[in-house]
Amino acid sequence: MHANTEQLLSLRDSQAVEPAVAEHAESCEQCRREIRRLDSVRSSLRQLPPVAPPRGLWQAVAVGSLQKPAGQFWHGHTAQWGTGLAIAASFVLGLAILLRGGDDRGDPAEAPLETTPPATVSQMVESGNAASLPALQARSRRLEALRAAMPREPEVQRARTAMTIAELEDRIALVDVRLHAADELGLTEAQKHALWKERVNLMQSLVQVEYARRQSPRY
Amino acid sequence: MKAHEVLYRAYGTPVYTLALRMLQNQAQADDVLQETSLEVIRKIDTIRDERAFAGWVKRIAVNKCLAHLRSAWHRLAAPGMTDEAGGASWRSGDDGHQAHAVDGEFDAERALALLPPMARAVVWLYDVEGYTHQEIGTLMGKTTSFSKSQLSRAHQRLRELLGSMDQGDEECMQTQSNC
Repeated sequence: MHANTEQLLSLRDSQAVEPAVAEHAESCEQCRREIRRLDSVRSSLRQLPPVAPPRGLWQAVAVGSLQKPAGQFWHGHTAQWGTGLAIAASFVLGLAILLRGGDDRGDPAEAPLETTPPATVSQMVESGNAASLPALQARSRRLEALRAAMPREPEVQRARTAMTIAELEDRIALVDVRLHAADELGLTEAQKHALWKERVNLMQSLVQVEYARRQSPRY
Repeated sequence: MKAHEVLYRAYGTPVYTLALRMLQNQAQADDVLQETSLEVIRKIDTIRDERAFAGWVKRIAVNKCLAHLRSAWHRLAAPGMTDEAGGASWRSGDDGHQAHAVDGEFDAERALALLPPMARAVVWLYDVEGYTHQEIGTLMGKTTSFSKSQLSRAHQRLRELLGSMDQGDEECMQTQSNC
């Protein structure tokens, strides 16, 4: 008597079946062929191509994340949200995927910190207020790149420093949320400009703290 | 939020693929990815081990998919293909699809789409995503045996749809439990 489908699947997956069934299948060409076929079907399913989500779905998510916890979100930084962002940020570092604009290529800010002279950092964070929106966005990208180039984990990190960094990241994230949903929120150009300026200022502070931590691991 | 967006770019495609394969419905797959992402944003602070992140996200997505499968809307949208209780409601020749199966025109994707929803969910979770029968049973609120039996039914149906065996084998396997 041949093995039924459930038994054949168990044999395909090297799972236990009754000894008599296993013995039969071992010597039965028909059952062996069926096991191979089941394996082949599984391979076909596994080889189906991945499907990318529709463009724009992330914007819906970003807006949705604003709407659902609105009571918490806009009235102060909840500990949960801030912690979540910090964890998300740490996972992102692990993924090492950062979106960069093409205009940043060749910018010294993108060089690893080890090759970035202190003067460059100093220049980037102190070179005055950029007036135009594109200039603010470009400065923000350069600061992001500079920070991304910094080592991930210090040997020693003081709690106060960690808290400062988390706080700055939190505030940057809040600005990002508003910028992502600027159209949905009906922000004016002036409000967007103000948000970008705030983002640049926060990024500058963050880079300075990170850089100081890098220079002195006990900072 | 940028960090979350970058994470989304990493898990978006796997989650969307999972939802689309399980539900066979683009709008519902959109919903699943959106709902999953919102849950990730809200609950990411509950996960401490970076290595567990992918599995955690996928489990959220699977639960969302199963909720959709259990919904009344899904049952209405796929009449005649619901078989949550394990009944054989989808039989060979129930509709025009069978003619295509005879012609051997089905590829794995189309065959998968024609499976009963629960059987399709089980075969995808087990054969592709690597869940165990016990895990699937727990996720579905059923037993391990339920998962095994759904997998078996799915493969019997896939075999019919893909029509890859010779006539001798057809006769053997069509008798089902003891060929």
